[in-house]
Amino acid sequence: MIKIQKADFSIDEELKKIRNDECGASVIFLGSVKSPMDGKKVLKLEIDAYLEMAEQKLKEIENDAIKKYSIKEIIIIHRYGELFVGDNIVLIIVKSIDRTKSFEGAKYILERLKEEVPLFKKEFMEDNVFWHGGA
Amino acid sequence: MKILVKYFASFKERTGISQEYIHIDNGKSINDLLDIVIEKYNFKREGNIVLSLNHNYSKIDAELNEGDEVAIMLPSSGG
Repeated sequence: MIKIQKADFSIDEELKKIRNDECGASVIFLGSVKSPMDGKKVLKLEIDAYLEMAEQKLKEIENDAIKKYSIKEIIIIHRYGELFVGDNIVLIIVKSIDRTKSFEGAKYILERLKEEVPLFKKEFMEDNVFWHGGA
Repeated sequence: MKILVKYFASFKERTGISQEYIHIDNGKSINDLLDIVIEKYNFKREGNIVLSLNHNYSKIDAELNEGDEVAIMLPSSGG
């Protein structure tokens, strides 16, 4: 299941949705807004999203990961909008029968998400504001 | 041809809009469309510009067709 949303999420609630007693391990990646960055205080982030394409890309990544890592259950949630330091940004939960595949699958999803899903961070520092990857 | 152009991140700020329709002659490419946008909004063709055509990342020389959707954006920085 993939979701791109403004609202926060609860790891416990998401885990309940994908209970599967065949899987003994759940690998969870939680990304959150950090400060400082490069020694400078971060005030907040804004994330812009190309929603239609981002959902399509995330779905492709989910399908590829399921096949490649024999994943039984999967949740990928990414937030957009205004986010403050400590707020959740991204949640990846992977359940596979094999724990190694669960770890590798979660890493694969995260790396592809960072490269391919059109989500754009604007960083509000105490002395500067910039878009990641911007000129 | 009528092309739907969407702007994201810094391009949304530079143009002041999130999307618009642009008319362009048949047989033109994304590169030709970009020329129109750059002239209209007076920004430079420099730095990172990532393009998509109908929700797939695209090369700049891709040919356009009536009703296509083109997005002008930065590299992904999610995660």
